[in-house]
Amino acid sequence: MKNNHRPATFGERLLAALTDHFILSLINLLGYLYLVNASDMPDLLQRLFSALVLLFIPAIAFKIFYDVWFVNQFGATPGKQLWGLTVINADQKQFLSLKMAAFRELIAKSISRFSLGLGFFWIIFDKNNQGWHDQLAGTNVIKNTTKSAILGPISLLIILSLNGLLWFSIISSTPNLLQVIMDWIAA
Amino acid sequence: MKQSTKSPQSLPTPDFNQLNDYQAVPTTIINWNLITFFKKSILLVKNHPKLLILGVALTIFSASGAPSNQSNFQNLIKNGTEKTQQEMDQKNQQEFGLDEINLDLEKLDEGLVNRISTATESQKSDSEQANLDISTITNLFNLEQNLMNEESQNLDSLDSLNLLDPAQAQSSLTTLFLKFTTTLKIANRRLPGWVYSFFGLEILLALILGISFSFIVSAWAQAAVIGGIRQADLADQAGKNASDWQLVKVSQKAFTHIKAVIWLNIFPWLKLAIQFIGLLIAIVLATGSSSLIVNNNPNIRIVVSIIVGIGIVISVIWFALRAIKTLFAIVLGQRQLVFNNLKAKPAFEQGWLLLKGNYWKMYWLLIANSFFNLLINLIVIAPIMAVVIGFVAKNWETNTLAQLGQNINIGWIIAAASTALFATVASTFVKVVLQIISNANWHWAYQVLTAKRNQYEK
Repeated sequence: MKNNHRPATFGERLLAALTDHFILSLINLLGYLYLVNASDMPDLLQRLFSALVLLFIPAIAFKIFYDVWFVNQFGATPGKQLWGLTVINADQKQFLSLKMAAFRELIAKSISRFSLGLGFFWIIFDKNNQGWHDQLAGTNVIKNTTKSAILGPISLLIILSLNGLLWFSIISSTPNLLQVIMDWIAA
Repeated sequence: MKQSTKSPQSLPTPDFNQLNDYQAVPTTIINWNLITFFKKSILLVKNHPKLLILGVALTIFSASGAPSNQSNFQNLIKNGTEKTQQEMDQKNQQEFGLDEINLDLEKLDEGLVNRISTATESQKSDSEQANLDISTITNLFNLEQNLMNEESQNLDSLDSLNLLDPAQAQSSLTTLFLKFTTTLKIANRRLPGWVYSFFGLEILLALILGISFSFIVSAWAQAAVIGGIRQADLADQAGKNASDWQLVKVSQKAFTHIKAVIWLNIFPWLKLAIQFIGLLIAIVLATGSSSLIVNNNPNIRIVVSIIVGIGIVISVIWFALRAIKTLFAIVLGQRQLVFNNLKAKPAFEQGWLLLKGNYWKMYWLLIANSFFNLLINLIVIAPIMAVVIGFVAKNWETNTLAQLGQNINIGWIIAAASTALFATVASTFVKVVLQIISNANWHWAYQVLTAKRNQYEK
C-alpha cells in the first residue's frame, strides 16, 4: 500500500454517508416546501399527488442511480469524494463493475441495514475496516490522505446550511398549511 | 465476474486485504443420525459466525421472494374492514337519508362540471370573436369559486342535520368523508391527465423491478447460504478456521447460480400445479359423465359416487405426498446445482434420484427441523408468556373489563414491555441462527445420500 492511502475509519465513512444523505434530502425538502405553500385544500391535494408522482417516487430511483452509478464511474458517491474516500475492489484494486456496485449498494447494504445497522457498526471492530456489505461484495473503502482535510467538513457545513435554510422556509410556511387545513375542516 | 477496466491512477495495492484461494477437500462421510446432524450444525455456526451474515440475507430476502401468509392475513383484515365500512355506510344511508344528500351532491358536481365546461366553451367562442365584455370574463373566472361556495354551503347544511346522538360520531365522519371526496374531485380536475399516466408507468415499473429484484435476491441468498455452509464444512475438515474462507467468494459464486435457482424454485411447482389442475378437471369430467350414464339407476349412482369420492381422497393424498417429495427434491437439487454447477432441470432430476428410497428419512428430518424451530421459539417467548400467564392467573376472578384495567399497574407494563422487546430481538436473532442450522442439516442429509449413492454405484 502506498503511504497516501489507508482504510477509511468508521467515523470518516459515517460523515461521508451523512453528506450524501443531506445532498439527497435537498430534493425531498424542495418537495415539502412546495407542499406547505398550498393555497387551499384542493390545491394541497393536487400538490401532494404531483409531488409524489414527479418528485418523491423519482427521488427513490435517483438515489439508486446516485449510489450505483457514482461508485461505478468515479469509485465513490459525491459525499465520499468530498471526504477523500474511494470504494475499490479488494482483489483487483479497481473501481467496481456496474453489477458489483449494484450488488454492494442495493443488496449487500440492505443486509447491513436490516440487521439493525450491525453490519455498518462492524466496521469499528473489523481489522480491515470492512462492514458486512464490504465483506459480501469484496470491497474496501480507502482514504486518500493527501486530499485536503478541510474539503469534507466545509462541504458538509454548506450542505447542512442549505438543508437548514430549506427547513426554516418549510417551518415558516407550516402555519399557512395548518390554516388551510383548519379552514377546510371549519368550512 | 467482469471488473471495470477503469482504474484510479494513484490507487495503492493494499496489503490489508489478502485473498486466500481455498483448497477444496473431499467431504467426510457421516452416518444418517439426526442428533449428529444437529450437533454438527450447532458446532458449524459456533465455529463460523460469519455464516450468520448469510443467514441474515436469507431471512430478509426469502421473506421478500416468497408469497407471505401474513400479507394474505392483512388482506383479509383489509377486506373485512372495507366490508364493515360499506355496511356502516349503507346503515347510515338507510337511517339518515344520506344517500339522497349524496345524490344531490353528485348532481351538483355534475352541474358544476357542465357549467364550467359551458363557460369555457363560451369563453373560447367569445375570445375568438374578440367582443367579450370584461365583466362577463370576470364572472366566468369567478364561476368555479362561486360553485365551490355553493358546495360548501350544501355541506354546511349537512352539519346542521338533526341527527340522533348515538350516531353523531358516525355522522361527523361521514360528513368529513363527503367533504373530502368533493375536495378530492376538485383537486383531480385541476391535475393534468398525463400525471396519472406517469404515475401508472411508475407503479408498473416498480412492480416489475420489485418482483424481479425479489426473485433475484432470494435466489442469491439461497445459493450463498448453501455455498457458505459447504465452505465452512470444508474448512473444518481441512483443519482451517473461519478466516480461511471468505464471504465474497461464496457471494460471487452464488451470482452464477441465480438463474438456475429461480428456475428450480418455480418449475417443479408449476408442473405440479398443472398436474393438479388436470387431475381436478379429470375428476369433474368423470363425475359428470358417470352421472349422465347412470342417470336412471340409483344403486349404480351410489356406487359411482363412492368410487369418485375415494378417487378424490386418493388424488388429494397423492398430490400432498407429491408436493412434499417435490420440496425434498428441490432441497437436494439446490445443493446439486450449487456444488456441481448444474442447470435447473438436471439438478432437479439428480435430486429425485437421491430422494429415491430415502423419502422417510428426509421426512423425519423435516419434522425434526420444524420441532427444533418450535422448541427454540417457545424458549424465546417464554418470558413474555410467563408475564401474560402471571397476569391472567392473578386476575382470574376479575369480572369486569374496568376492574381488569385498574389492575394493570406500572410493574405489569414494564414487565410486559421489557419481555416483548426481548422476545422481538431474540426471536429475530434466533430466526437467523435457525436458518443456518436447518440449512446445515439439509447439507448433512445431502452428503450422506450422495455418499450412499456413490457407494452403490461402485
